[in-house]
Amino acid sequence: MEISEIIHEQSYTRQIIENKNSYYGFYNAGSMSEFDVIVVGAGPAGASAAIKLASAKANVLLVDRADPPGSKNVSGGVLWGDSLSQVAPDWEKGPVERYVEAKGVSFLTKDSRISIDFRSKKFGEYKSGYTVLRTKFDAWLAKKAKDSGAMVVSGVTVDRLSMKDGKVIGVEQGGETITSDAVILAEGANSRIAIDSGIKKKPSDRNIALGIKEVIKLPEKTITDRFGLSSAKMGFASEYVLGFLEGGVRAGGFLYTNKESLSIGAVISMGDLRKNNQTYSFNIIEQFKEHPFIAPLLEGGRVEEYSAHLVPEGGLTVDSIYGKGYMIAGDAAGFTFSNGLVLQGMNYAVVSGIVAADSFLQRKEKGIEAGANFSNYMDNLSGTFVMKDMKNFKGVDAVTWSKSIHQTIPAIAEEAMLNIFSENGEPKKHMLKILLKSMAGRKESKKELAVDLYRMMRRL
Amino acid sequence: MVGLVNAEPPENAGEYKNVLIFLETRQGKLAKPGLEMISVGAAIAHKVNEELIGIVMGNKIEGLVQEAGEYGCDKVIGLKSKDLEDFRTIPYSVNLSELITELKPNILLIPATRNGRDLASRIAVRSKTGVTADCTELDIDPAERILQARRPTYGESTLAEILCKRHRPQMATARPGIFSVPERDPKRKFVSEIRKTTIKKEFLKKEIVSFKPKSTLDLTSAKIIVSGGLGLGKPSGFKLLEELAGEIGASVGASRPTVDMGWIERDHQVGQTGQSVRPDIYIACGISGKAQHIMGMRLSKNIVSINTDASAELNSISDYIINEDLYKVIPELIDAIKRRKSGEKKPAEAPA
Amino acid sequence: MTLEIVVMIKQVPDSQEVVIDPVTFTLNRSAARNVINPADENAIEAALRIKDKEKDVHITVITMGPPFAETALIDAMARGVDDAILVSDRAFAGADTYPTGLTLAATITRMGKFDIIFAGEESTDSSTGHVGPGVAEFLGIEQASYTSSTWIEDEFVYADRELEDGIETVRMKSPCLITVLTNSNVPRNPTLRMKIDSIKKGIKTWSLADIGLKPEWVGLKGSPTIVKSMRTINEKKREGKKFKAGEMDKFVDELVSKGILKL
Ligand SMILES: Cc1cc2nc3c(=O)[nH]c(=O)nc-3n(C[C@H](O)[C@H](O)[C@H](O)COP(=O)(O)OP(=O)(O)OC[C@H]3O[C@@H](n4cnc5c(N)ncnc54)[C@H](O)[C@@H]3O)c2cc1C
Ligand SMILES: Cc1cc2nc3c(=O)[nH]c(=O)nc-3n(C[C@H](O)[C@H](O)[C@H](O)COP(=O)(O)OP(=O)(O)OC[C@H]3O[C@@H](n4cnc5c(N)ncnc54)[C@H](O)[C@@H]3O)c2cc1C
Ligand SMILES: Nc1ncnc2c1ncn2[C@@H]1O[C@H](COP(=O)(O)O)[C@@H](O)[C@H]1O
Repeated sequence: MEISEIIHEQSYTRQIIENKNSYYGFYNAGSMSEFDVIVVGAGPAGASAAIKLASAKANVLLVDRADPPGSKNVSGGVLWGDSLSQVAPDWEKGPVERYVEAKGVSFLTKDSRISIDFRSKKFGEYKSGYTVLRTKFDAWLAKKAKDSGAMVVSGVTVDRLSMKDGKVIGVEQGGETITSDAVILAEGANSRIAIDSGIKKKPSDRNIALGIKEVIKLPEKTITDRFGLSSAKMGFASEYVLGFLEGGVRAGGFLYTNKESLSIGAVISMGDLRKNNQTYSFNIIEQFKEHPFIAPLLEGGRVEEYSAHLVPEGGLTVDSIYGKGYMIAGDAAGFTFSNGLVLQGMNYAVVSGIVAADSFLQRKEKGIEAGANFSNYMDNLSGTFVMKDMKNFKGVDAVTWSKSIHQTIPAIAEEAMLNIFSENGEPKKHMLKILLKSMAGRKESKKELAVDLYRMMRRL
Repeated sequence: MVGLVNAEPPENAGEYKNVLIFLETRQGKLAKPGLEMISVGAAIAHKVNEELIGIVMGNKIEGLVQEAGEYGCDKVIGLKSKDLEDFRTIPYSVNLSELITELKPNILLIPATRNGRDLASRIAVRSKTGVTADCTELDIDPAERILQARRPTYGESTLAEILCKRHRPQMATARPGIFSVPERDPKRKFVSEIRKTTIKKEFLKKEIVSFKPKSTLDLTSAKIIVSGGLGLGKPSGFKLLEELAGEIGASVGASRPTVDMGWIERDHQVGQTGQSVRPDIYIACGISGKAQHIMGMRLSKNIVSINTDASAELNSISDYIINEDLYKVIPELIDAIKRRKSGEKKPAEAPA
Repeated sequence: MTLEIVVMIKQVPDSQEVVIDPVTFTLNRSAARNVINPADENAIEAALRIKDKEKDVHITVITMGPPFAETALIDAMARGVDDAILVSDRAFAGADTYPTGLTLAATITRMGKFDIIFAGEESTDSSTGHVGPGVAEFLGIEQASYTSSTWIEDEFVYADRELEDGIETVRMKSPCLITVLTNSNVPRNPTLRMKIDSIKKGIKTWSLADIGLKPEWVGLKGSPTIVKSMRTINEKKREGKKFKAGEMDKFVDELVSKGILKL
């Protein structure tokens, strides 16, 4: 038997033999670079970019520090929208957990919960989102990239961008340079490479939050019943304002249902953590889990996974998302949106990755030179919801991290609700009166609250 | 000898009888792990009315053959040669397999020490049979005379029973420190035989050029272990543990990172890549209790965990939990033990 | 003449990520990634150190495993190993140590000349340590197990074996097999450059037919042992009784009165 016949179908070796991809660089003939594009980071942004590029027969290298790719990635876990279908039309049959049919938003005080629980038959017509478990999901996406013909290297951490005459000409690792016509930086919120290469300032604590997450194992049926879901395929996703934490630490919580587990976590203000001299985020997720209205939802579950990750807050945090020979996509560019009601980033990551890939291909058609300036990336992205959301919700962090959202409003609401619902033999008061009364009794200046309320209405 | 052999089973399994054990020697003495095979080997053999035959290999082995009989072998065979003085894989495995061909034992037990595992692997291939490694339970099905070899797997969480139905001998290696050494009885009756052998030159190509003995700490037979982890924070933390250990006659154990960092010698390491221990009390000081560590100590009769972190994994398998800074409680514990020994009362409780 | 070194490696679930369930005491390996068996990383490093020192050394790394074990081979090549062979066939499934040794020995025989074979002392998932010496027996060659270092001097292979009671230095002629202790050296990291080059170079995949064995000799069929049953080890129920600082006298009383501690 010929060796080539028995080589495993998906293997790199087979792909080379069958010339399924372009490892030998026939696509970038004429250029001196080893690869057309090097994509750093195999999260949703990088993997989407790599799939798009490889499908267009570009010679692409996708590098991730984890092995398998993405195995250290963290997300609460709802991938909103349908952007991924542009590069992976079958993604809904891929490693998704449950389709979100019920959405919640709650304010939690020490003793109470004030919630909106939104369920709609119309969620069937609109695309809401799927819960995903990132370790599975990211590995699946990276495999897609490999199957499309990208060279995928995992378990290696890229040190920095390789620069020559002010242009990015590739990446550096272990003292060696690998060259490419373009680099797409999709390294996530840490942005070590962008910072070390001098194309991004170190983000301030205000722009960074810490996300922590646990996966809690529960039987499929228990989850479906406990959250009142219509089937095992349907899921629940809720955000919480945690207005009861020790030391007044500001944090948002989330709870999502997967097939056979729950994802529970919190996004905590870095500034608050530092102020409280806490390096220990564990305590916060414990407080959340022990809350009287959360604990019953977790009952009987067993913690299977614990992880922590940075979340960029406050939208676009880089001066420029492109330059000579490079583009920045996903969290690395600051493309996240969190307003206390939803926390999104994966969808922005996917779209920005695809647009970066398109922008490279666009330039390529016209004959690219190594180190070309990718201003078209910004132009192309401006036409998508990514840039539109970033513009519309600029400054939203001032609201989401405001004392009003985290403490004042929940406290007022709690007092008001108690007033409305408790039967103390007195005649019922008008709602507005109750609100005004409980507001008047607070130490917080009315002005601060008014400003926050105004901002909230404008920006959310 | 070069070439491949296949795994055809012998057709005459019924002809195989008796339990053979390999009594490992170390520096001219019978080593403990080998002696541990005697009680379990005898139990298995006698259950089916067969004999326990001990094998001793070496040069000056007369005394050792006698000793093996006194410990409880029904029969002891000594293989004597200058070339067998030190353990070497090929001469040992060639000679032992010749004995197997001759004696046709139903079962062969070897201690799962480094040389024992080395030997067992080669014998199994030479005899075209299977071997169950690192067993902690051994029994026999009296009807079929099938060895029921059980070994912990999946991080000591499950016990797998492994059988070798069609091939003979049925082999197992036994984990040191699990089976007890029987009482030695100088009056015990047994049959013994010493055979002189010569080893072919071609089997003696490996030379032992030097041997540096080291005194090793045997934690497997310790009754009390005081063990330290990264929570000690500094190498000198082990001084405090030694003080406590000295007070209660304990040995000192350690988690792997403390060994890797050079805080303490490697032979103190407990766990998957260290020693498996089962003392009466295991006092874990500043050990989080990762799976690899737990594997090596969870069979301890009593476990005490001193840890500042109430949610340390080790706490979930502890009989006693002291959720405090070890630098605070260990000195207190030492004082309390001293007081108890001297019959003194705690100052506050002492009558005025 | 080229010194031919073979390193046998195995892909195992990362035991650092395998967690024990504190309630059921079962092992949760679902989350665990597949990695090169730790001792095998040390075996690769031991081979590379010989290559660093001697001239004209060629190293091949081999594994018997499923197709996805390719990543372990690529990883090994990216550290400086020259070639890699994956021996993969459905017929190999369910092998115990005997047919595993046979399959690897047949693979090595098919490769042609070899001088030194390296293996790990044992694997973290089956931890028998039988495969390495088993291969040596199938090939009829000398071996040194549980070694902390290996070197070549005057055409001899030397190795330090770490035994329970001391360190034994042995000297042999090649061909021979060496098993390497976990943590006996610090394995080098693969670089991006080397990973790219290894992927470009690719690995060889051999099947049962390539190594000339019969299906009934390998895998489950060729295994003399069978797993009859598995049971959870009955765990002693542990109470987790709490004592505070300042209560050490009470604690000692408790241990002594229950006969746990004898003073
Ligand atoms: C707790 C939490 C909950 C969240 N919940 C949601 C949610 O429900 N829905 C949602 O849409 N978003 C959510 N997000 C945000 C979402 O996770 C991110 O926006 C998204 O993962 C960004 O994708 P990315 O590809 O840009 O970066 P990442 O997913 O962070 O991927 C970056 C990749 O780069 C690799 N990498 C980094 N540095 C290097 C290097 N030097 N060399 C090689 N590789 C490198 C990393 O290993 C990683 O695989 C959440 C985030 C957190 C932390
Ligand atoms: C293949 C392999 C094999 C391994 N084999 C072994 C093995 O044989 N043995 C082994 O032990 N490990 C082994 N390990 C390593 C194992 O996974 C863990 O890393 C190790 O057991 C953790 O050791 P630790 O508890 O000392 O450290 P840590 O996990 O860092 O724990 C330190 C603990 O000390 C507590 N602490 C800190 N300060 C104090 C204080 N002042 N007072 C009280 N408590 C305090 C902390 O709360 C923490 O719980 C192996 C790993 C691998 C991959
Ligand atoms: N399937 C395999 N392929 C290659 N090498 C193996 C395989 N199984 C075991 N080995 C080698 O044998 C050593 C001991 O493994 P084990 O006998 O399973 O403890 C490992 O460290 C490897 O070097």
